Formats: sequence, structure tokens, C-alpha cells
Amino acid sequence: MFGHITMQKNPQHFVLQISILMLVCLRRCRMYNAALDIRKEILSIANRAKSPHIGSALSCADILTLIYGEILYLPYASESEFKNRDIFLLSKAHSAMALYASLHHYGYMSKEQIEGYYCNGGTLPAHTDKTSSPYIEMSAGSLGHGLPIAVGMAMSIIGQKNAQGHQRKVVVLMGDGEVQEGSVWEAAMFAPKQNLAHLIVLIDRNDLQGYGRASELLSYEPLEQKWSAFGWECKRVDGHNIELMKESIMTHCLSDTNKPLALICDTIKGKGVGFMEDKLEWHYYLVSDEVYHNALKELR
Amino acid sequence: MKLKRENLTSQFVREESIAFSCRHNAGHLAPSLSSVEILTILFREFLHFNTENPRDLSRDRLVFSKGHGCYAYYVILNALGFIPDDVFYSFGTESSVLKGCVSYTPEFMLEASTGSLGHGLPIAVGMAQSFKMQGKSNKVVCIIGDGEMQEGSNFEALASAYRFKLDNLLIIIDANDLSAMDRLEHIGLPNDTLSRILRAYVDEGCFYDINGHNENALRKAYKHFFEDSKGLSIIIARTIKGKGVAMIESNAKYHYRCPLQDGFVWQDKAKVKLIECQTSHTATATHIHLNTHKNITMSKIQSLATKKQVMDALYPYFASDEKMVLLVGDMGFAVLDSYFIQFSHRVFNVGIAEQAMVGMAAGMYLGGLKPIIYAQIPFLSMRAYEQIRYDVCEHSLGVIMVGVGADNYFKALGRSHCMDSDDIRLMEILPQLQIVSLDENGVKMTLTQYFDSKNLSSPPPPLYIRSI
Repeated sequence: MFGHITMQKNPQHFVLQISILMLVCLRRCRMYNAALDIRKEILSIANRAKSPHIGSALSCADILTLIYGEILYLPYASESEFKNRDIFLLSKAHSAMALYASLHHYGYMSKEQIEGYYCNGGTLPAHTDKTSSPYIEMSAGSLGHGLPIAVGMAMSIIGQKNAQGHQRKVVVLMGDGEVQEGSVWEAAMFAPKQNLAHLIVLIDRNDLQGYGRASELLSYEPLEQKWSAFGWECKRVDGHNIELMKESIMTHCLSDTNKPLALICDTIKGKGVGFMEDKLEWHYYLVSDEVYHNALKELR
Repeated sequence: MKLKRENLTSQFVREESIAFSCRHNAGHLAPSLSSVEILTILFREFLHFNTENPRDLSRDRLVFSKGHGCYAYYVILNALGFIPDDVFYSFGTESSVLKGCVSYTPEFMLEASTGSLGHGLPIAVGMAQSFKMQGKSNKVVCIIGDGEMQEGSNFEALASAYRFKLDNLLIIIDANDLSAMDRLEHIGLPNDTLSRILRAYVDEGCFYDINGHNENALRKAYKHFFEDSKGLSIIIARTIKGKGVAMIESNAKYHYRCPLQDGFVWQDKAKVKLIECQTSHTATATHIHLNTHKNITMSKIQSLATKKQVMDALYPYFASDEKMVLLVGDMGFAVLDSYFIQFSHRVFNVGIAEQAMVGMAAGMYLGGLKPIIYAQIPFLSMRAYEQIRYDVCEHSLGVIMVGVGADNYFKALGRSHCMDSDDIRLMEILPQLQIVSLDENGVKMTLTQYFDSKNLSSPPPPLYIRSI
């Protein structure tokens, strides 16, 4: 980009381009900071509630930052436009901490609500519950349910526009272990024929499921080839590179394809905290006070 | 009738399968005819078995997953002496051991109960892995219909099969490109797509996409598997449904319909008469049996609303409400025709994928539509039970589920298709769900009330309507 700028002769253009560049940098910086804040919030929630699944939550923190920060059109529930919102489903609902932290970061959930996570008489369960908040679109936790529901939702809102005049979107985030469920493939088979370009499936491919490496347990790779063979538009990106993921999703939304998008996001379980990264045990281990402080240090 | 295996010919098997269907007025002729060559070559030249002892431990196992299209399979087993003549000819009677869908009978070398689709491959994978673990050299062959490949359980099993490196497992897809209702391309899984998908599951050199009526091509692929297998093998055998009987070839109408009903001329009348005598004889016997033991069930069956009555009762509501959609589990000939013709934009044959069907219905309801599900009771209530409980009931979504084949209405099809009235017991567990098990008038009245209450503020509950 710099090379391009120096070639410009006209000083007005130069100023314009510099300001665009700064804007991009600023935005990138803002997304980076948002992801960092969300990670901190996740750790703090996990520490307070002493709940498991910290690794899964950290692995999709960047994805959720992007979705709520840049992709979804999501007015507050009190606004009249709320009924025309974009829909996000967290199918890998054991990462609910990441969802709550993101909703909190972007102002959809209050501090009090977050504090009622994973405790008796609390407000938020460890797997999502539709009744707990208007921004939680489905109860989940049993894997393999999200995609069929998303396909149904996407079919039911075909042609509906949000306030910005765009087709309402349905975005669903699945884990890579979850992709082994047959119901996922039943829905994957059905969707491409239904003109669901506004359906976006993100797969958090951290290659660590509840009790082993997904790629060793089963032959679910080559994932790209499979989704493409089923008739989906499929791409593979670094799931911690927010810019790249955004570009893939935007390219899809702006193209005139009628296929749904499956975006395989290569991630690292426990990303951001060195001693948790790519370690199976952090699917279960609890975040003690000591762990919490060490983890915060690593995040900075 | 007893034949040496080397004397088996496709011609013989095909003719006998047609005879079998005509003799018993049995419906699944077309799906049986597409796999004639696949089975004949397999039994004649490759499968290892012992004609003296069907339970010989060293035998290869054939899991016939498309359990409905079993006439050619029965014909071969009868010709080889595994299924005795008296059993073979008493097919279709109440007391017969031989069922409309393959039912586990080791003395006939019927290795697994199938008929509920998508069950065969997981079973075959388990068998193959167990032989492998025990160091045995038995081979396992699994024959699957292409429509059946819509079931997600197959993809769950495939992933494991590859991981276990099952070089002793051969999967044959009988790809006749027709499921019970429709061409597969309309449902979402045309043969070319299927071929592309399955190729992604096996290693190079273990995948064959061939003409399933070409004996030489089959032989070559089998030879490769039985003599020099490098890993999990898959054959896509492109076939023609109903091959050999012109009027039913590639005709979706004949998935479950004997061509005799439409003027097909079958030569062997003498045999029909003989069998008619036998059948009427056994039928009387059964009748008595039913009267003494199953009185309640009988009367229930007679009074329950039929599927046609239920769908007709729903029709006016469906017609007047653009938000209602119908999801069909690949069935409904004659019953749903008017739905498909009038409302093609909101009636979907989801295919043979009950779990996803229920999940999608939940999603549609959450997205503002009012879905109706139409499927066979066992596959709806048991296969998709988790989805019904969690996706529909725990969300309290007013999804209407129409179950077909209550109280053993499909008993001719075997146990896969009937579950007494156990579905009521299963559904009773779900507190949100309203169960409707009534006659035609009862269903009509319930629906009137149900759609009335929708105008009130409370959201409608999920509804489960049983029909025969």
C-alpha cells in the first residue's frame, strides 16, 4: 500500500490515501483491542465462575469479535428495527463464555447479567438458553443442532431486508468436533439448493475436541473438499486474522452467488494464553486465581 | 429350488425377482431390480460362504442396508438353499419369518435387520473393525441405496471407517438416482455430487464409479477389493431403478407398487394360484390370532385418522396461511400431491434426513414460519427424538408433526416400520408436546381449536398427530 501511495503525484490524492490508510489502521487496531478485551473478559468470567471450556472460548474470541463488531446488523432489543436483525447462532454452545463476553463488550449485555454466569440462581447458564436474553437466538449445547436450525431460519427470512437494505443474514459458528454429527451433513446436503447466499457457516477448526484431536479421531479432513463437494462455497482462512476473515465474508456477501458460505477458520484452542494454547486439558481445567493472573500477564 | 453358485445368472435372478413380486403382490420390485447384477456377481464369484452351514464363522458378511429392495437378495439366498422354499413362498403372510424388509435371521444368512435407512453402514463398519481387531480375514460388504445416503448416520460411520483403515470393508452404493418420491437431484444429492463427496472419503485407487448393470465392470472392482484391497473401498454402481421391466424403469411411482396393479402381464399364473391358496389359508389363521390377542390394537387402527384425512384436514389452514411450510421425509405419494402441486414454493421434500428435518423445522419456526413435518412414526419419534425434545419442545415451538403408520399399520414392512404404540409413550415424556391420537372428526376438531387459540396471546404448543 505504501508503494502505491508514493507513486501518486497529486498531493490531494496523497492526503486522501494517507487518511484512508490511517482509518484502516485505526479500525484494525480497534478490532485488535476489542479481541483483547473480550479475551480478558472471558478469563475473568471463567475465573469468577470456576467454569470449564476456557480453551474453546478463547479459540473463537477473534471470530466473535469480528461477527459482532463488523458483520452483524444488530440493533438493541428495545429498538423497533430489532425484528429485522441479522441472526447469529452459537452451535458450539460450550463456548458460551465467549459469546457473553462479546455481547457485553459491544453493549448488549450488562455487567450484572455477566456476573450471573454459571452460578445458582444466576442469569446465564454454561450452555446457551434462549430465554436468558433476546440476543441469544437458540438454546444449544447438544452438538449438531445449530446448522439445521440455521438452514431453517435462513429459509424463513429469504427476501427480508434489514434497515440498511441488505438481505438479513444468518451466521452460525460450529466447532470442528461437531462436524462429525450426521445431522450437520444432512443439513449441508439440503442447503445449497435453496438459494441461501445469506447463510454463513463458520467452523472453528482448532483440531482439539473433548477427548482428542479431531483429525486423529476421524477422517473429517479434507473439510474444504467435503463442503465444496456438497455444493457450498468454501474457503479456509486463519481464524485469528480478523481482517482476512472479514475480507472472505465480505467478498461472499458482495458476490452474486446463490450458494451458502462455509468458512473454515483455522484456530488454536486457548489462543492468547501461551500455556493454554493447543492443550486438550484446558477444555476442562478451571481458571484459579493464580492461573487468572498468569494468563492476564501473557495476554499483555 | 437349489442351484450351484456358479449357475446363478442375472437373468435368472431378475426373472425370479419379478415373479416373487407378482406372486405376493409385493411392492418394492423396482428397488430390488436395480441391484440384481451387484448381488449376483457378488454371490456367484466373490463372497466366501458355506452352503452347508450358513453360520460358518469364516463367512464373509453382507449387510444389505437398503432393506426394502430385498427381493433379488431373497431369490439368491433361496436359490442357494439358505432360505427354505416354504418360508420363501409364504412371504407376505402374517406368520412368515421372511419380512418385507430384511430382518436379522442368521440361519438364512440375513446378517442384520435393516429397512430403517442409514442403519446398515454403521453396523457394517462395526463388523469390519471387529474382524480386523481379532485378526480375522472375513470381508464385509455393505450395499446402500443412494437415497439412503442422505442419512447423516452414514457420514458419521464413513469418517470412522476411514480412520480405522478398514481394508476389509466394501461399500456399494446402488445409485439408481431415485428415492421413494423423487429424483435425487431435486432433493439435493444427485449421483454426481454423491460421487464427488464419497471420493473425498477414500484413498486413491479404492474408488470406483461404474455401471452397476455391467458385469465385467463389477467383476473388476470386486476382484480388486477381494484380492488386493488397499483400504476402505467404495463402489458407486450407477443403476436403473426397475431395470428389466420397461413400465417401471426409472419411474418414481413404482418405488412401492407392484406393476401387476397397473396391467403388467406376468406369465406364470399357475404359481399365483398355488400361492393364493396358501395365503388365504394362513390369513384365516392370523385373523383368529388377532381376534383373541390384539383386539384393542385392531379397533384402534380402524378408528385412527388416516394420513390422507389428517393432511386434508390441515389443507385449508395451509392454503390460507402463506407462513405455513411443509417438510416431508421423502414420502407421501397420493396423499400430498395437492400440496406439492399447489404450493411447490413452500413444500419441501427434505429427503431421508429426519434429524435435520426436525432441526430445520425448529429454525423455520424461530424465523417466523409455521412448519409442519410429515414422516413415518418410528423414524420421526426415535431417530429425531433428541431434536424433537431439544429443538422443538424445549423451545416450545408450535411445530406440527404428523406421524404416519401408527399402531403397526405398516406391519407388512417389518419391525423397522412399526413400533406398536410406543411412540405415544416416548412423546408423553415431553411435557410441552400435545399428542393427538384420534379419528378423523377428532383431528378436525382439535385443529379448529388449535388454530383458534393461535389468535390468542399464548404461543401454540408443539403438536404430534398420529395417523395410519
